Amino acid sequence: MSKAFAWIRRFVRGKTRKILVRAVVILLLVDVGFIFVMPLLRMLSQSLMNVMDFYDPTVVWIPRRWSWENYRLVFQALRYPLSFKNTTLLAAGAAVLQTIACAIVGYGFARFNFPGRDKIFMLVLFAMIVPPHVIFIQLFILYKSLPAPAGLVASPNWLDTYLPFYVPEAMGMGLRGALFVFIFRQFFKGMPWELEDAALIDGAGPFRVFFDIMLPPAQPAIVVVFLFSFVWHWNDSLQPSIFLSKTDMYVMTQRLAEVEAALSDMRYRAMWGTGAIMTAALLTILPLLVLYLFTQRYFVESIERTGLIG
Amino acid sequence: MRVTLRRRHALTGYGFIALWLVGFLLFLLVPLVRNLIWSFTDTNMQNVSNPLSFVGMDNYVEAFTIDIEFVPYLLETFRNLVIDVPVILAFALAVALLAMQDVPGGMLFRAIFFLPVVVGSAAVIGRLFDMSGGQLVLFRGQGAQQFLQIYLGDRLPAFMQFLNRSIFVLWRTGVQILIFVAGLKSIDPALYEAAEVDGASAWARFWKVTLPMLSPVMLVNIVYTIIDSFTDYFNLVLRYIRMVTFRTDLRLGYPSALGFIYFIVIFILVLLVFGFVSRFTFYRGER
Repeated sequence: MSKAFAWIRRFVRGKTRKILVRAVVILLLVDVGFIFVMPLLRMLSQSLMNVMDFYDPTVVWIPRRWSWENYRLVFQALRYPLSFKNTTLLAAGAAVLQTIACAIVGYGFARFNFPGRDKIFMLVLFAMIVPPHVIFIQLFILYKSLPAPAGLVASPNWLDTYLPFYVPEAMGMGLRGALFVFIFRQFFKGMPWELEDAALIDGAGPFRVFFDIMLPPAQPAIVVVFLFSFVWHWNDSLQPSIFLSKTDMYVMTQRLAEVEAALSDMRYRAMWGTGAIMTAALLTILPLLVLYLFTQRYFVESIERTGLIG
Repeated sequence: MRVTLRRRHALTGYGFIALWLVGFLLFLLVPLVRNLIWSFTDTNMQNVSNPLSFVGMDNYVEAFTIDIEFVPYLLETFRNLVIDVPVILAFALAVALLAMQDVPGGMLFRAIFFLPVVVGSAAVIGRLFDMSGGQLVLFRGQGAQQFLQIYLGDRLPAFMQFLNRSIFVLWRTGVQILIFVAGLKSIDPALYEAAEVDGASAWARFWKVTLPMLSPVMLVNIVYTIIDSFTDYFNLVLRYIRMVTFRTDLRLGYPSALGFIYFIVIFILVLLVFGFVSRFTFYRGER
């Protein structure tokens, strides 16, 4: 390997070499970027195609018969405004509660010395590796037996409400809650003690110290955890499919599965084609893409400052 | 005075984590233990409310001897894991290294590289690759296919499937890239300077500085990747467990047993990997 390098080195020196290295780096960047962008572009291009374009071998990327028909159809089939509202309600609520709870718990693990702390922290790691699929039957039975607060929701128990997505999350559990506790613990562990000590000496209680002193600088970690939590709740299809059976509670992934199931019928498939499925998938993640567009700068920068690995 | 202060400090600590402990008991430990108990019974949808009737190890025996699908799925999951984990890690590391480069438009590329985190939803991307989307543009032309046919013969479909799969796997690298970038940022630049002064080439610097310093992060990433692929939407075992649960015979004891076997397998594997990889990790503060 190094011999080959030496041979190249002899011929290419100084500035030329620098430019060459840069060109290779940029080429690789474009390559990898292409891998990630290509499926999205393909989704977009196929969503704009007329059914006939799928049978036309000369059409690869650019639709020949542009059509908004897919969007019109899928917008209705997904019941987009309703499922958008439902999914936002579920994902945003769960993400807010989970972020707050995990920050509190992570701080507790990072900054306090109490008997059995490290053993309890092993439980956090343990919670990370239990697949949700292993316990969903039991959770279903649990939620079915828990009475819902009267008046707040229509259902007599926790099923067909968003409580299974709010309550565990508000306790720092739920979808990947343990991972978030871990992230916050690593983050708070890396923060200097001075501010905290000063505030404690000034007579502030521990909870005030946490909210007034520790939380503001934790903003990057908070943004990352919130975004992760929001995205993962938005995309989750397992839990909603088990806990939500009333159609007016359905979230986006459930509608997407419905549309897909309907389109797997050959008669509809011939009529609407792959384009409809692509449109449905695109519309499902569109809000996430928009959210990412506005937060990506913050996101990319903050992850670098989170000290994720402390 | 001293004792009470310390006690108060400890109590406050418990106060911060108490909520999580309750949640852990209620929404994880109790369901997991009940799942274990059910796995020794023949509970089904009809007799859920009746007292449990124990059948001993029957469900476990059935899983390994009578069920012709479970064990193959389990083995298949293992095989995929052995292939996927190195591919994902190598790719994530390469992308993380690329993302650190200072080139024009770097911000744009960084934004693109984190797309999988946002879009990498199994539900959506899976659909995409089930459809024609997964076919590499490169091999769409008939010429390329025929060319490959000469070399691969009957193995062509399998090869194409492998290619599709590896592209699909790359979409599961979002979090790993983020963790690697964070790890790379935390490496002390002085180490590189020292290596450069000593005459180490870029190649040597990567192997002698970057990789050892990155090993703790590598451990985190390996464990995360294993857990991620074991709980993946497309995981065959999980799909099978779901299918068994909603099958017409409505048995609940049997899928509970399958789930528990699967959980134990993951648990042991993670412990083994953790123990094995920990021996090769290097912490700078250690002697």
